[in-house]
Amino acid sequence: MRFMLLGEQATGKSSLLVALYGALVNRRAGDLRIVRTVDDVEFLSRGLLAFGRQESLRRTEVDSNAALLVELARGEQIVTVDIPDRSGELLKHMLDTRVWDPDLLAQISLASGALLFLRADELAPLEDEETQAEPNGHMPTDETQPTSQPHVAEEEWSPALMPADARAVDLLQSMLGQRSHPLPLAIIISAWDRVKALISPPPSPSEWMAENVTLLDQYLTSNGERLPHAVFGVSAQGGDFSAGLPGDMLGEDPWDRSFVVGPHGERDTLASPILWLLDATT
Amino acid sequence: MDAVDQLLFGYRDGHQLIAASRPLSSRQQRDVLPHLDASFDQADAQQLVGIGIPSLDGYLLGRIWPAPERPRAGAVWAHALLLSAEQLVSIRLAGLLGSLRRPLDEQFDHYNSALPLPQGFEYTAAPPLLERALAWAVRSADISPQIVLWDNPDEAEGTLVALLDASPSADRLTLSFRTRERARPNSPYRIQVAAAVAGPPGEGREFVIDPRDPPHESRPQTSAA
Repeated sequence: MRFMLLGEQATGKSSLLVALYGALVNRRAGDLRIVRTVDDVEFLSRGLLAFGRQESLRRTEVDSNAALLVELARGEQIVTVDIPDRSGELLKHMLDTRVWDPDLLAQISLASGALLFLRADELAPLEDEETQAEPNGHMPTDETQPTSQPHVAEEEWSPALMPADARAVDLLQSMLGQRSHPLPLAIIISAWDRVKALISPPPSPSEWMAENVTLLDQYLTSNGERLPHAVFGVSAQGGDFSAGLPGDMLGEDPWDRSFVVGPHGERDTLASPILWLLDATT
Repeated sequence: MDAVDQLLFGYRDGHQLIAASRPLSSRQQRDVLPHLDASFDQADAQQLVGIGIPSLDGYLLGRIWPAPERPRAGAVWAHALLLSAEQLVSIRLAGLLGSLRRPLDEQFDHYNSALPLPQGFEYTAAPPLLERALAWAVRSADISPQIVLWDNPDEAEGTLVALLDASPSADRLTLSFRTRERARPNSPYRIQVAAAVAGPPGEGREFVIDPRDPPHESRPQTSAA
């Protein structure tokens, strides 16, 4: 089964794949076990090493052809899961220009499901902007803005100015236009450790999305038959490396630090979004 | 004709066009973006890329560097020259390598105007074994993509551009190359120069030339990637 990763840059796509791979090979994925890796897993192993050093992953370059391609066992069932890791810039460029990326377009009809990535701290600023960081631990925008601008179309408004939830709805609307059958969708709210740390008591991911990503939430509710979905809060790193991990996490392995919170607030394994997708597609 | 257009890509809320001496349509930006992005293992590495871009009716010659000073891990800078089809066949290309500059201190104004063509040129030859392998790869009657293995791919830069310069005019737009740390199977480049090949053996359609072995009496041996 092929699952698409949908997310713009720095929304935690590669981080989730690395954390999921770490959970699978270290038996932290509940009932889901890895049978064998089918494709090159070097980027996943390197990612785990980076997490072990408490370093954020490097961004995925535009022409990357990396993927998590593994055979998984769930009870007696063996399933091949293929999750290509495409650069977020491709999706950003596609949404900005409203021109389909050919590869993404080809995937839409073939995919069994998709994971849509959103950043918790982008959709609902959780603290002062000066200390706000990306899920990968870096500042979200340059400290110094460029002194010059490239020649770009002289439009006062462009899709690039749309807020993240409107862009997500725009993407899903376009995808439904290309696909006649339902697309199971796992919504991944990344940097969930920040929500958990700053909102007490922390909401469930479903509650948080209904409160903070209203347009997307309403769109998904209205299109539930064509877009069956579940919302997960994910912390692939377990915390913010740049701010320093909590003391009780410092000695933990990356696959023990990372966590997922299920749609209703229950703590779950990194495999739970994939398990949900597998259930939704059968 | 006495100036060449240039582009600068870098990380600003995503890897994107930062400065340019000419406007680019969305389609043109999409077409050049994959060629001006990279992943680096070494902080002091660089990559050279040359490829024809049909939507620009021209040829892209660019260099990519890691940008550890930028806010996102894995960010890169890429500076590229856009040669028109006419420039590609009429100017000495070897001098252009010296025009590819990594930006410093957030100063981008330099990249917003066309670059005067350099006067004269200097040629840094590759080590003989590499030079010979590159010549074989470029001049091979077999136009299958080729990977040339070399521990320091940067050493191929001067020779790659010199070979482009020396190619028949009609062939230049289709002669594409890239230096990188690890060659990719099924890449869009006719020639990749790399220290290693990424991915499992046998995945790609490329032929691998490994001139690091002792000198060959004749054409270097080839094997499937």
